[in-house]
Amino acid sequence: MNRTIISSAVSMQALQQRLDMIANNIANMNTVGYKRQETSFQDVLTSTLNLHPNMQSAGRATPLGLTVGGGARLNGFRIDLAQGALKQTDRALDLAIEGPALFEVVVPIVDEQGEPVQEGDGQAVEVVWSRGGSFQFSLMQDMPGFKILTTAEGYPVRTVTDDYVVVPGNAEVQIDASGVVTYTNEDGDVMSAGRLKLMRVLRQDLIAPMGDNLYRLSPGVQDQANVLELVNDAVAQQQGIAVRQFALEQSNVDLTSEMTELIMVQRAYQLNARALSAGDTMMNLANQLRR
Amino acid sequence: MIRGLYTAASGMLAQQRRHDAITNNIANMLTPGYKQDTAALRSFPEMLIHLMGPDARSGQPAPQIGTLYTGVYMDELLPSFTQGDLTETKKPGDLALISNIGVQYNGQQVAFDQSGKAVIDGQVIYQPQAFFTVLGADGERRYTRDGRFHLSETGQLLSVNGEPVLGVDGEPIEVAGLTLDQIRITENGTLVVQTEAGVQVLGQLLISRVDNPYELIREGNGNYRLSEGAAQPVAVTAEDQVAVRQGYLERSNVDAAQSLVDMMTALRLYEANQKVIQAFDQTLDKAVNEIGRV
Repeated sequence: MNRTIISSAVSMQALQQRLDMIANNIANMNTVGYKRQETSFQDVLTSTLNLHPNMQSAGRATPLGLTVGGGARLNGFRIDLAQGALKQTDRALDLAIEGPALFEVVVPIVDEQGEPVQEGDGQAVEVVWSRGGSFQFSLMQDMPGFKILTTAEGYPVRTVTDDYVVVPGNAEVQIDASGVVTYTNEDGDVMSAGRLKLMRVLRQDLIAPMGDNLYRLSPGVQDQANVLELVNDAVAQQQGIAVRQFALEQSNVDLTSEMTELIMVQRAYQLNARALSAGDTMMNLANQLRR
Repeated sequence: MIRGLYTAASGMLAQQRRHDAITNNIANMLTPGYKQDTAALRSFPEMLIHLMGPDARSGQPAPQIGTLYTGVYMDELLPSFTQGDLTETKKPGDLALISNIGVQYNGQQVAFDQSGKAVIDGQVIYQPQAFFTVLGADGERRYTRDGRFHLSETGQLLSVNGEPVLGVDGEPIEVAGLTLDQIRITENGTLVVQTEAGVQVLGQLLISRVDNPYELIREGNGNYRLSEGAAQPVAVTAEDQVAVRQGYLERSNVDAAQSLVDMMTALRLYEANQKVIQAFDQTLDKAVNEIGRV
């Protein structure tokens, strides 16, 4: 009875976590750039009972010994980086990426108090990657009259030459499908401000989300080149990678499949609860053997 | 003590163990590649019963009544290897195995029952099953139906537990410089990639054919291992009806309705045994308290 109760409790806990994940996906259905999370189950072995060789009885089909299961647990957590639908907006700095790629973004490293960490004569920074979103122009203290392209939180975006995108203060930019940023200056000439750096994702499970639509390498990655690859024209064409201006990427949550999964998990939870209450009834029966 | 008291107690214990096994099945209803277990009970030990005292007429020793089973225990957990349903996940790393291996006996095709067995001329024949082969941490092979694979950083194909998946050459499969969505896995487990030069073969998954799947020992985490002394399984051939489907996962083959009915039966049998013990208790109560009353 104890084994039943423990096994059911363990499995219900796993199902509860799965339910939480589904609820999180559904809640974020309308969040720009949200990538759905999924996981699955695996069986748990509690113990192997070795039986005495004398118990090898005639007609026994399986090897001597009893492998006792202990329920199910969650395993195989992954973030599904499938493309979300693109929604058209009329904002020039709403950028979305088509295909398995990410922008390169620089964030300052802060310590636990939130103070920026100094490194050498500047600030310590970390290179992370972004899926796009509502970018903006930020003013720069040391270059008045110019503005720099940043994410909505103010992290600068990098170009293929590892520089930032700097344009004059009143310029309007066009960004084409390969990420080249152009603007028109006062003389009417079209100037290029650089090409946005795109990195193609080779190993989806080795990048970890940081929030704000940002991703960093998972801890334990030996070499960044195994996980991310610079996108040039050949790669962009082969993989169908493009930058879209005036567009925002919606979440990739499919409500139908989430609801179906929700129903199955709910019913499994119900059955496990039934098993647990049956175990409880059995314990009650044992207790009532002798009043 | 009355014999039947211990028999009923062993009955309660056996039903409890059976209930545990059914609960484990229900708990793993959503586990991909899980094969359900059925508990098999066995009665033990046998006892030869004689009448008490010598025979009244002839004076010979007491005649036999017959054999009595004085206990029951859960002997083994029999796995059921029926094919689970396939569910589409559209992930290039998710593989499902469809296994329907036929066997010839005396020139005739054997028809297996639902549990994967056939009894012909007193011989028990088991239906062979196909499994993916992975390399366990101890260097021994493990077998699994859970086809959730991914690529490591260096391009090694790994199972969901992080074990390398073996190819037909017995070595882990390595695909350097490629992503899973570029790789297509055909029905016989061959990994191919489309390049400008044409279709390039990267390797082939080792799909092991286990002739007697009842000899496998469940290890947990979706893996099975061979029992000691069992022969190492060979790879499936083209004649075996085994297919690999990319983008699909095999669901658990647990039948929820049947499991619930079995669970209710186990509970009621537990209760019935409990009533038997209570009846014996009342009988002993009479013997102890009323017969000897002064």
